[in-house]
Amino acid sequence: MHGPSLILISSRDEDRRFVSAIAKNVGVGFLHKKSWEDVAKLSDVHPRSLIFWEFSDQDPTDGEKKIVSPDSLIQSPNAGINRQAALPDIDDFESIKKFKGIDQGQAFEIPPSIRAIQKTLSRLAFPSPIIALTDKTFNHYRELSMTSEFICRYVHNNFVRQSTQLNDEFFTRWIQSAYLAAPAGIGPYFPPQTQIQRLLVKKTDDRVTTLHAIQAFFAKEKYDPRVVSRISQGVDELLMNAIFDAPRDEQGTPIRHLTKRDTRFDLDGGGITIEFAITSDYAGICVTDPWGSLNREVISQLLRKNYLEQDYKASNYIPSAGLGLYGIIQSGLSLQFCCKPRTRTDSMIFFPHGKSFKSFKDGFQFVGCLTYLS
Amino acid sequence: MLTVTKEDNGDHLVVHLSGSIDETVDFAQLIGEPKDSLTVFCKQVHRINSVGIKNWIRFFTTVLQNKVKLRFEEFSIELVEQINVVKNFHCGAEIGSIIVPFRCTKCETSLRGKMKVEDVKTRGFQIPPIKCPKCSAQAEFDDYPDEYFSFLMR
Repeated sequence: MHGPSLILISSRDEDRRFVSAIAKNVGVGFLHKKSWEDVAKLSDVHPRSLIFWEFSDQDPTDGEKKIVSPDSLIQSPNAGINRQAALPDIDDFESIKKFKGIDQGQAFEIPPSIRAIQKTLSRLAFPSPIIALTDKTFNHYRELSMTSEFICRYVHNNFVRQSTQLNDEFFTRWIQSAYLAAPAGIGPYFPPQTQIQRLLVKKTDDRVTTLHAIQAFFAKEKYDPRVVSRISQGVDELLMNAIFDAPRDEQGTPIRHLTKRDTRFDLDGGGITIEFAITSDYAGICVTDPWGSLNREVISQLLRKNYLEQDYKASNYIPSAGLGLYGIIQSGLSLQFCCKPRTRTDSMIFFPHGKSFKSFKDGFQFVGCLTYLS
Repeated sequence: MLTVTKEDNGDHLVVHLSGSIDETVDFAQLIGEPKDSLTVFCKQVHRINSVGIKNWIRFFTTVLQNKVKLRFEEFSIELVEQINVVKNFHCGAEIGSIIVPFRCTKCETSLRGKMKVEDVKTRGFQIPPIKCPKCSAQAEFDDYPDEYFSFLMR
């Protein structure tokens, strides 16, 4: 068996240049295929290979459509790590939750391209994570997020192309760290000599002072005020998730998710660590909680929301808003989760250097979710 | 923390919001129950988090459901950014004016200017530069019109 490869499915030259450069920098192989049919013919592929899949050019109207009612859509509670299990036929899925955003009783279509890809993936010998390459964040591509099983199992990441050059150095480190090792904290995503700043949040009252410290840091680094505001808001949302949504008891039951968000208390589990670092090209902030309770399906659901297509409805029953991660993505920040179950979750935001607001907006963006066991 | 300054003109209530909108903000307590009409000036709102958005939508939706005429003025940049990603952030109320970001081409100072929504539309979303108060050079609109004004194009 050969070493790991980055496998690209795209007809765009920009994608070929980007992925081949990353592969060269990381020191892994590069395979360029035009279609999933070509990928299905591959044999002897290393299990740590990654698939980069160009999605923006997909035509969801290809072939014969199949009408499926919302009730037959699935959210399997066990669709986590076991990628080797073959996917059941889509008509046999049991409905556990209704797919959010779809009106009850409204039928919709599963694109045949997605069905074909699911079948291809189930036949592959290697459980490669897929990185979707798109022109916008993936909540704009309804076809991609229609089957939550597909998203949770396979499309682990989404790179959003921008009009200017993607940052090869950052993505080289991202690929090296995220997939070829089990990373912890922000350090693996930066050059070895990079200074890492650290803060410890021990009580809810520390949240505001922490946000002020981060704002002051990036303002001192001459980041544009609007970019600083977005960074601060992103960290605020990750902190609230870590304080209220992450904590679990010994049985794995959430213990703080119904706590009113203005409640003051000492944090469970010893506190939350924040790390942040900066280079001349990019920066990152990591919020680490000691719970390791990340649920990939819940994250995928939250990231798939599109409040430009549906109204936001404020729930009276749960204190959280359910808008934090959506807001982070819409603000242009990149979001990455790394979770070691029952041990820790690193929730990270990354962003290009933002001395001007437009340079920030024109920079890279991606969304990623990684769960590792060891 | 959010501070609210109120001008109660009988049936017409005018409020000025200043600060950050988050989980600690109780709009009903701060603003009360407007009777006939409510105008909300927002240019001093510099931060809003997700729970703040929830509280905002909940309160102002109720205001409109109570048949109060609601209008927003001087929607801050941070609030414009929210309405561009949450389509019902304004709850269907009118927005009379917004704050627009500028950046000086010479000294790179970030500036803010106020514009009426009707003027933005009349200009075809092309915003003319302004004079930088710091160095007198030109300050240009610091965003992409199809993104910053996307809520007006829906």
